[in-house]
Amino acid sequence: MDQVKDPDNNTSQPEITMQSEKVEVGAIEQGLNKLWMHFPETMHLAETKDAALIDPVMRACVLNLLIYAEGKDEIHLAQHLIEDIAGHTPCRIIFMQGDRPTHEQTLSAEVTAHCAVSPESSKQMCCEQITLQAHGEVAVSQLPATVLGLLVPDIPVTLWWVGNPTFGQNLFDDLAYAAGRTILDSAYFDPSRTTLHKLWQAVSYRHTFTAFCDLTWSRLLPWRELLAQFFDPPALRPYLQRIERVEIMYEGGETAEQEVNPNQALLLASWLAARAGWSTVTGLREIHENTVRYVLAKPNGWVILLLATRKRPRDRKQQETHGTMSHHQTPGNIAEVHLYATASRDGNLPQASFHITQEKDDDCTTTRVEKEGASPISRVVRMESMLLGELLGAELQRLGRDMIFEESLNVAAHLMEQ
Amino acid sequence: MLLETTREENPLRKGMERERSPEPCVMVIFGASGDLTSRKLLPAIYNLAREHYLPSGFSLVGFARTSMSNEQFRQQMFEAVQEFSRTQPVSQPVWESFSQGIFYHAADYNDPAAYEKLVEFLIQLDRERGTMGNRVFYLATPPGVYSTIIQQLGISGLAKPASNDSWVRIIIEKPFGRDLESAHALNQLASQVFTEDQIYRIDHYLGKETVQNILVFRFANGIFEPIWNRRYIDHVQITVSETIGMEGRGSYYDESGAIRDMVQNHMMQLLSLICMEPPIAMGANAVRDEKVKVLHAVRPIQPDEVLDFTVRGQYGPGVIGGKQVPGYRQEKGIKPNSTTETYVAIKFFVDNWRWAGVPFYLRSGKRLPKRVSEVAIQFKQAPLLLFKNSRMAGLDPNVLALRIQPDEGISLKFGAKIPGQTIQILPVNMDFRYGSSFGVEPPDAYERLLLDCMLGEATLFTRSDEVEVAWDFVTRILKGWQQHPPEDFPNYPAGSWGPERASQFIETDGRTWRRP
Repeated sequence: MDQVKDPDNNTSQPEITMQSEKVEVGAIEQGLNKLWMHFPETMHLAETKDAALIDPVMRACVLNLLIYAEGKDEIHLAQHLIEDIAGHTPCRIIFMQGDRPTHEQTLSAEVTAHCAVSPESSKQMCCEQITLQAHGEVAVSQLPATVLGLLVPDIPVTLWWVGNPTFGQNLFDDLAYAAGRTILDSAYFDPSRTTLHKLWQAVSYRHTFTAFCDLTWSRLLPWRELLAQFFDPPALRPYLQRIERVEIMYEGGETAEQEVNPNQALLLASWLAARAGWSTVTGLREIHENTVRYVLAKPNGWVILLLATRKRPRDRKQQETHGTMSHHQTPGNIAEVHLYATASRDGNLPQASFHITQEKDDDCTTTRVEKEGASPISRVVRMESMLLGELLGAELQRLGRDMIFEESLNVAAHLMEQ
Repeated sequence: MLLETTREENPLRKGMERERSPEPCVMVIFGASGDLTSRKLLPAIYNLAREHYLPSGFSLVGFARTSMSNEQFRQQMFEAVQEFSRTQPVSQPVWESFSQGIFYHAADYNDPAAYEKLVEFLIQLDRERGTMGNRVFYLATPPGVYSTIIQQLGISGLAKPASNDSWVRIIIEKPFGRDLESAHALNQLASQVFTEDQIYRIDHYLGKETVQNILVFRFANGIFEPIWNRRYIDHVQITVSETIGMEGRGSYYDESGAIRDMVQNHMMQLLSLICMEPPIAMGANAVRDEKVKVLHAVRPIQPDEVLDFTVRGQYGPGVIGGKQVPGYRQEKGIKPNSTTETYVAIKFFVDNWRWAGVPFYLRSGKRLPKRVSEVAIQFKQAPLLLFKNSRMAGLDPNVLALRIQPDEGISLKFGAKIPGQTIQILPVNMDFRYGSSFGVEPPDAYERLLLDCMLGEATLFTRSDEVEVAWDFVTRILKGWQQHPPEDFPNYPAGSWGPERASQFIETDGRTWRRP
C-alpha cells in the first residue's frame, strides 16, 4: 500500500493521510473492505503530539462525489483538490480519469482511504476514493455503467466535471443523469467550444434529471451579498428601481493579446438585471476596445450596462485559485461595481450611487454609498477570493436546483445573443 | 414550518442564505470597560463586521465610569480583539474602517446629564453615520446597576424609538435576578420603560450551534418524534459538568452557587427544548410559547421535599488532569466556611401527557472529571424474551445522546450481535460529530445572538414569563435548602463525579448516572 501525507499540510487545517491499493475493477467493493479492515488504526499516532487523545478511525459518508477529468492539467487539478475535499466533506469519491485519444483499451481501478485528523477533534474522519483510469474510447464509454454499481445508497450524488463539458455526448449525459447535481466551472470553458449560452441550453434540456451549478456563479456570492446589502435598509430600497447605469470592471490580461473570460462580469450583470426586472433589448450592444455596452429596458426607462476590463497584476493567490488549465484564459475576476441611481421627481430621494471596490490587498473590499447632500458612508470588509477547493466544498453542501442561477443564466444567454 | 416575514423583501436577496442584514444602528454598551466587552462582545462584533454581516455605518459607543478617550478605548478594544477573536490575525484595513465607528462615553450610570449628552451624541451619529435612530443598549454591567440604567434610559427618552421607522432594543445579561422576587421586580421595572418586544434577555447557551440543533434534530427528522414520549423513554439525564474551579469569579459565584449559575438558565433552557411540543411556526413567540408551557408543567419541588429530590455538593481538594487543585473554600474570594453549592443534582417530573411519569435527572458541577454538556435520553428496555438464553451480560438499553460541548454531535447506542456461531449481543455506538463531519467552523454564540437582536429576531432570547417560571422552580428549592443547611461540605473531592449521595439518589430508582 502507498502511504502519502499531505505535503503542504498547514497546522490549522485537518491533517490528511492516505493509503492506496490497486484492485480489479470487478472487485472494488471487496478492495475497499480489505483496505478498511487492514487500515492501521494507530498508523498516525506516533506522528502527532496528542497521540494519547486520538481515538481510532471513524468513517462517515454524506455524499457520492463523481469527478470526471480528461487531460493532464485537469487530472492534476482534480487530484490536488480531492485532498482538500476529503478534509472537509466525508464522502465516497469516484474519480474517473479519461484518456480517449489512445489505441489502448483498458479500465483499471485503485482504492484509497483519506483520513483527516482535525486539531479540534479527537477522531480520525475517513472517507474513500475509487479511481477509475479509462484508456481508449471504449473504456471511457464504460465508465457510467461502472459507476452506477459503486454508488452508496441513500445519500446524494454530485458530479464535478473538470474542464470543458461535452454537452450532448453520451458520457456527459449519462454521468449527469446519475447525479442529482452537476458542477461545472465556466471559468475553464474553452470559449471556442463552450459558452454560457451553451450552458443555458444544457440547463434547459437537462434540468429534469440534474441540477447545474457553475463555480463562476459561486465566486460571485460575496459580490452579490454586498450588492444586496446596499438595498437591505428600507430607506434605500427604492433606489433599486431608480438605477440607470451599471458599471462592472473586471480583471483584464497582463497583455493586450491575452484572452479574458468575461463570464463573471456577465453573470453578475445578468443577476442584477433579472432581480431588478430589467429586460434585454435586441440589437442594443456596442463594443469599444475593452468595454461592452448594453442597453436594457426597465418599466420606467432604460439602464446602461457597461462591462469593462481593468488591468491588474496577477498575484500568487489567484494563480492558486485557477491552477494551470489548458486554455490559459485570464479568469476575469470582478474588480469594481458601480451603480448610479437618479433622484425622484418629488425630491424625496436625492441622487445616489453605490460602489464596491476591491482593494490592493486582495482580502479586503471597500463599499461606499453616496447620496447627494449627505456624507458618503464607506467601510472596509473582508472579501477573500475563494480558492477552488473552498468553492467546491461550499457547493458540495448544497442540493437541488438554484433557480436564481438559472434565471441569471437565461439573461446572460440573451445578452450573448445581442 | 412557516417563516414569519414582516417586511417587504429585497429582491436581490432571493435565493441567498442570508435573508437580510440589520439596518444601520448604534450599539451602546454599558460596562464597556469590563471583561465581557473585551473577551466576548467586541471580538464578536468585529467578526460580524469583518464578514460583512453588519450594515454600513454601524457604530458602537462604550459607556462606563472609567475615564478614557475615544482613541484609548479603540486601542483597548483592538488589543482585546487581537487576544480573543476566533479569527486571526486581525485584519488591519478592516479594523481601521470598523474602529472609525467606535466611540467612548465616560460617565456615571446614575447621572442624568450623562444620558442627555448621550442623546445628543447619538443624534449626531444618526446624521454623520446614517444610523437612522436605531439603538441597541447592552447591559454588560454588574446586575446591581441594571435598574439604575433602565430607569435613566426611560427618563432620558432613549428607551422610545425616535420615529415610526426606527427601533430601540435592550439586551440584558444574565443573571436576570437572584430569585423569583428579584427577577419579577426587574421584569416589572423593565416593562415600565420598554415593551416586551424591545427586551432581549441573553443566555449565550442558546446561541450555541448544538443547542439550536436540538430543534432541527427533533423537528426536521420524521423518525424521532413518534418515540419522543413516555411510552418509549425510561428517563432523561441532562449533564453540564466543568473541570474548572472559580477562575477568578469567586466572589460572584459565592453569592450564586450552581443552581443559579447553571440550572435556572442554561439547564432549564435545555429542558424546555427537549420537552416542548412542535411550535406552529419558527417565530420567536411561537417557539417561546411552547417552551413556557413545558416550564409550567414541571412539577414544583416544595421546600420540604428538597432532601428527597435534590442533592447538593461542594468540592474539596483533589486531582484534575493530573494536577493537585485546592478545594472550593480555599479558592480566592470564597469565605472559609462557605455553604455555597458547587454541585447540584435534581430529579423532577414534567406533568403533561407526553412526559407523565418520566423522571428527569439534572446534574451540574464544578471540578468534575470532564467538561461535558449533554442530554441523554434512555429508552425503555426491549422485551428480551427472544434472547433469554443468550449471553447478554452488560447489555444496556438504547441511549440517544445529544452532545452540546465539546465535540458537538449525536450518538445512538444499540445492541448488535457479535459475529459467531452463538448469539452474543454487545452495545455499540453510532456516532455523528457535527464539526468533523461538516468541516465548518461554527460562529461564536455571541455573534449569532448579537446579530439576531439587531435583526429583531428574538427566538434565541428568553421571555419574561420563561424567566419567572424558571425562577419559581429554583426559588422553592433555594427556600428548602435554607431550611436545611448543608452539614457535610465539602463532600466530594475535585476530580470525582460528585457526592456519594448523588449516586445513591439515582440508584434508589434503579438507575445509574451515565459516564459521559
